[in-house]
Amino acid sequence: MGLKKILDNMKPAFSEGGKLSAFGSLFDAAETFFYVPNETAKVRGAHIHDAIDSKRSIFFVIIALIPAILFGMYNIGYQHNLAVGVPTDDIFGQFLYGLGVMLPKIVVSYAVGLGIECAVAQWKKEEVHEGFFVTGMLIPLIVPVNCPLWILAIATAFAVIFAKEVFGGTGMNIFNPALVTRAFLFFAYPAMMSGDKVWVNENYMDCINGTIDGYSCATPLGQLGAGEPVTYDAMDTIIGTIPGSIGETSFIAIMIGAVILIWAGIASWKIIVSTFVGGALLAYLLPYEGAQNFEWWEQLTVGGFAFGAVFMATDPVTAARTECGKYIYGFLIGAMAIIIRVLNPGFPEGMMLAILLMNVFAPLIDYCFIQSNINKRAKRAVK
Amino acid sequence: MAKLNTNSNVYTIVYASVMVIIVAFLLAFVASSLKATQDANVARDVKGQILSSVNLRGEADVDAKYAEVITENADGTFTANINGEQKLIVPLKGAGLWGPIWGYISVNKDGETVYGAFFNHEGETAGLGARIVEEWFQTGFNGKKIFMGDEVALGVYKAGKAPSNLSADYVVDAVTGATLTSDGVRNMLQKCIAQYADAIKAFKGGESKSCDAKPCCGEGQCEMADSCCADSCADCASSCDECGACKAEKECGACCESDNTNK
Amino acid sequence: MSLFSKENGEVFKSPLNLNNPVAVQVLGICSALAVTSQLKPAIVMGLSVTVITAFANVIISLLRKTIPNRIRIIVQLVVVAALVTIVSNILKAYVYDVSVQLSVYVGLIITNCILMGRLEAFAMQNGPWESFLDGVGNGLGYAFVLVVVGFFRELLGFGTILGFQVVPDCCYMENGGLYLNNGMMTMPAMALILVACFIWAHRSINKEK
Repeated sequence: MGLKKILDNMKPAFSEGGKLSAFGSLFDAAETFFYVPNETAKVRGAHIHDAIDSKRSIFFVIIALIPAILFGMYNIGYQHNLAVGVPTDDIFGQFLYGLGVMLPKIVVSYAVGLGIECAVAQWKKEEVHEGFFVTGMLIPLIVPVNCPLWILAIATAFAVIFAKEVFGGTGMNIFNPALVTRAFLFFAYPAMMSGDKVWVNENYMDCINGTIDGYSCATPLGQLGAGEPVTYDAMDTIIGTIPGSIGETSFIAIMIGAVILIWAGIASWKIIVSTFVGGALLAYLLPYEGAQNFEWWEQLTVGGFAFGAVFMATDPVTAARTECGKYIYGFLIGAMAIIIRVLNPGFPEGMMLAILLMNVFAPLIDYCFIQSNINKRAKRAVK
Repeated sequence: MAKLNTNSNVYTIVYASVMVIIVAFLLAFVASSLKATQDANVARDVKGQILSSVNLRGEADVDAKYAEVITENADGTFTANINGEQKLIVPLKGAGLWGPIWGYISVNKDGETVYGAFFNHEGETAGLGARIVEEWFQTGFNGKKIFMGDEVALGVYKAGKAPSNLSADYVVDAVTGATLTSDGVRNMLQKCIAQYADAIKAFKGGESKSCDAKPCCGEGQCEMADSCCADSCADCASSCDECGACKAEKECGACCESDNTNK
Repeated sequence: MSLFSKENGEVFKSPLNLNNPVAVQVLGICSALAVTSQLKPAIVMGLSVTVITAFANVIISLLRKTIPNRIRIIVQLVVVAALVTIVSNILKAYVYDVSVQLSVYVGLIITNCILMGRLEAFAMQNGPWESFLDGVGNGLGYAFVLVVVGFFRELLGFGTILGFQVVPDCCYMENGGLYLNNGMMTMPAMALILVACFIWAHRSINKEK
């Protein structure tokens, strides 16, 4: 008996009035996971963007994230071996080590986030929206390796409730939930999120137990922030064999993801390109004072800049939607990120804050462009 | 009596004047009668901070202990008498990451080592920079050395980041994750202690200029002969070869001046 | 009208719950955020506002028939400012450490919307005893919110309540345990979210009324 028949047979139990109707949303999510839904959008009042269901577009984002995920796992193992003093040529072994560290984080992020989303969806009697699939994958990638799991759980819960559900669920949020998670972690538990001890993992069991016995090792931005010479070459920052948050270190892996997203038409190339342009301009204009071994363009390859530009800034819900607005939005994100990094002594990394700030302004940017458009057309009509 | 026209100009002005006068008297009365208590409170708070800098934290009767132990000096420093020993307390003011930081540091009679320290802040990050008020950080200064030659070498450094010419005696570990506040503490220490360096020297120097006192010079330098001790070891010649005319090692210092007096 | 009649009871009770100045009228938010990082200043602030609102209400109510209309607001402001200055001086004299923590926020009680709101809306039209009850009710309603927010902020942000260490030392990460204080609780931003949660809970409980 085919899968479709099995699902069809199970359906009545999960519908209204059925025995398992409390889990109706969950069943609905699972069913549309496998098969395209039968309903079409109502004609009145809908703005149709694409023929594909949003689940498919989300899948593309996950696929685009895979290079960063795989490299991130390898890098965890690599940095660990480097720190412990063991030879670093065992590629597969290092990857497995990183996998062991990452997996609990991924599980926690999805479990907490989806748990809350399902509960809310059931309470409101709507279907579970799959927007969290992307957020759930992004969250483990933007935290340092030694972040304890229970802290990650609290932060995810906070972000899902206060940055998403309170506003009305997926599609209604102003702020990027993955970044709100990170912002909450940064402000609530600063000792776990920055400094020198959080970037290299000594024992992956520590990660689960949440102990901080980390090897002391600074990231390039950490070194720049403290005015110390940078001990990593430009090539290191591009390939990604530097300490940092799990997914953000490898420029190459992120670029592969960017290519996938642009080719599939999921992410807007305008935002990505304008973010890099804005960042490059400000990086050129605002060099770090007395920085050694650091080119101005390396600003674009270190820290969370590339990752934020490709995966966070392009989130369609929170970004600007007008085509011209996207240029301004991306440019300002890149510019602000560099300004915060260089000029503010309290924040060595500025990408998270820059994107959250521009999330607030995105509707304003759109409004300005739409208004000017309306005014232009009004003038033409009068003539 | 006719009803007062509460909206007339005359009434309004009279009303306002009477109200102002009454309120002014009332507030002046309250302020002046409470002023003494308030000033005592402020003074007591400062006294508590100064006592903390000589490791007398959490005293039950701050005023009494302060009166017993501390005397104020004209130049803004304080002298403390702890179990018969004298300590000099230097006030510190500086800038942290988000706002001002301040404190007091007490120096032993040898003019070289720290007896205790106290720090406070207005708005440093809770859990990070704010930890400079915690006792463990402040007592970390006890016994540390201050001066290397004439420079203030005492500093707060991140683990492993202290300049290599400084032994551990000069280094206090920074608060983990609070680099900038710790840098602020270091700058404050170096700037403020330098301002009071003369006072510390005078404190150390004391009254007696007896040269039977312990050698004031460092390694490879000679003890002064008879009369006065030089103010700092830089005044001693580093070897007899420099003077040429001197006869014995012990007389090195004397031979540097032609009229046989020390500087 | 008797002292403790039903209407007076209503005047006193409604701001405690259904007409709570912070949760329902949404007044006095800024001081609710600023002074609640620990429980003790929150309690002192709540009491101060209660006392000041009550007595300002009484004084204005007693004077209400004599105040010239053109300088009405100014007179109210002067009365409030005088009371606040007196209270602030008393605090500085008798509970100095708390007054340092409250710093400018005691002075800012003058601008607290709750006060001016109640003076205009109630004291100018009602007798002294009712105004007193109204002032006390609003002040206590405000104090209640402050105490709740302050309780959670101090517990989660410092691990203490009123200065007593509640979370045992051994649980902290640096002592071998797993727990960390939530640094964001000490920031006003989180206080705003806590107040929002309070309003959320309050509205849910009182949905039918």
